[in-house]
Amino acid sequence: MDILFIALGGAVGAIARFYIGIFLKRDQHQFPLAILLINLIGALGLGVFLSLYTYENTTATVISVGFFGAFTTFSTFSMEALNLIKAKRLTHFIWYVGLSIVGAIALFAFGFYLFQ
Amino acid sequence: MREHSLTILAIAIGAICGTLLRYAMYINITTAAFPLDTLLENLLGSFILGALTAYFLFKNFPTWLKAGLGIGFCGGFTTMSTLAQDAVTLLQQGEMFIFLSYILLSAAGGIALAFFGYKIVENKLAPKEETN
Repeated sequence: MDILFIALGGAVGAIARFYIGIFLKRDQHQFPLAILLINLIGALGLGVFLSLYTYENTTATVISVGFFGAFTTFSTFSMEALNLIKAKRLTHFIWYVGLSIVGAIALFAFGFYLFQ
Repeated sequence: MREHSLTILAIAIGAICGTLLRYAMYINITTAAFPLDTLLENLLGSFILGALTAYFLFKNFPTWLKAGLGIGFCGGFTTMSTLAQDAVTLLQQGEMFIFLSYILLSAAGGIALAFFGYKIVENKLAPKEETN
């Protein structure tokens, strides 16, 4: 039964990522802003969730592993970073990788300690 | 509208497979000192997305299938939020060296593996240039 809800959490997370991605890509940017913002929002959201909901039960796994795990993505991050290298846009590459990784860690920590 | 519904359905099915595979690795790969499960998921998922991207470029695939495999499966299988959680846990434990190794291996490894996945498929499928 748990697996069913974790799968459902993942499906909802991925569909939310798809729609927010479409919304953020309405203006075509040179910079891959959509996935960066999705990953930052997801890291902040997971931090806030884990600070408010401290029980280790099925609900926690459904939301953290299922929803937030699938809402954020690493494979598209790798692919977009690679595309920036291929296009020789090194400044954008450094900002994109730095903001994605450091930003996600910082926002998770911010969300996690905000309500403590 | 029908095409759009099919795309959403494909993303849902891809994400269910990706999420359950990630959950299986999360449960079965238990290393006390290092978040190996997340690292492996992110590296493997980056490789697969790199290979798929090249495949989609040289072969014709319907939009719903591309979305299902790329946005659904690879997106659902890999994760940035758990990476952030793992990284903060390592910092809390004062494991500076493991923290740095983890984020460097994830970022550099993910990008390198996306590149290898792309190149392997590109070399197989790209039309060969005539040399004469």
